Amino acid sequence: MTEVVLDDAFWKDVEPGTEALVDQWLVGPGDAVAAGQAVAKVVLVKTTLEVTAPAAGIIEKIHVAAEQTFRRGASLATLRET
Amino acid sequence: MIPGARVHFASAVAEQAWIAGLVSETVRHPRIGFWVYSRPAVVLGASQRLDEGLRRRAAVRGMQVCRRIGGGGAVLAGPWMLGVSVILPPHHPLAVQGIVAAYRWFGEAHARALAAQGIRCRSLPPARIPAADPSWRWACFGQLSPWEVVAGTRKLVGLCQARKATATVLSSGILIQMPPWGRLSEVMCESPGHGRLLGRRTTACGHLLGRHVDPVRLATDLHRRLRTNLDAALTRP
Repeated sequence: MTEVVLDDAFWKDVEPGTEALVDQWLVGPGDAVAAGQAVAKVVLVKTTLEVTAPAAGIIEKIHVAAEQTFRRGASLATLRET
Repeated sequence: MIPGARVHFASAVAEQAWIAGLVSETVRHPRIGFWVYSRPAVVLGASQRLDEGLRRRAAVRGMQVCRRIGGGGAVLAGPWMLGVSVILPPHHPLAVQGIVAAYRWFGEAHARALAAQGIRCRSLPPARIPAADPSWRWACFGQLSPWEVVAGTRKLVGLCQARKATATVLSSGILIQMPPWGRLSEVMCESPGHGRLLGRRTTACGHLLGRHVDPVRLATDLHRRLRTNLDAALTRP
């Protein structure tokens, strides 16, 4: 299993404790995704960002629903690699 | 080379369509666009929901409504605002730096261009930003984010950003004149008091200088400053 997270580079100069918001999931549980495919849109410090799949696989579970917030390093979904 | 300053006299809806068209495929060269809005529009942040009720409330007040590519709260675009968008290739040096660092060069360029018009203002570093108030999340100009431009404590320029695989987009809204904030609070279903409070939290170029500020002249100067930043980033070792 592989965790889907927002690329840590996006957090590098953001104030500690800042939360991001999941705007929209582009895939759902059971969907097949390709490595690098955009799977969700999130907003951090008024910046819209794409969360991408770290590998090809199947989305097993979504941990942070749309319109929910999350912190740096949080797993947004679990991916079963194929 | 970056093309010269292009000022569009068109709607916010046309602006968002222009940006969407550019970022629909990988951007190869930086683009800078300026918008003097021909008609009023409520421009929602990317994560704000556009429902039928909101669209209807805007329509009965003669306003368009659209969503922008960047995040944050709603903006009331109109003849009182100069809109600015910089679209960068995804691997441009200014597109791969940190989110807050990108706001810094963009916000500081605005502050310098406004200072050249005689406006005393500054681009606010993160340490000077008051704690976010969730009750103002609906309005861009209701609160402050890193490197946005203020005169005293009042917001003059709002910033937002979007990063896609195809491009990075930095956008701003500069208040040339004071907007009719009450119309924004009506469309967003907020109380009339919120509209009045927005008036106390913001200021505008014309209000500060006591005279009309030509948005095209401001755009020309800001374009030169933005272009200098873009060119310098490409030549930096």
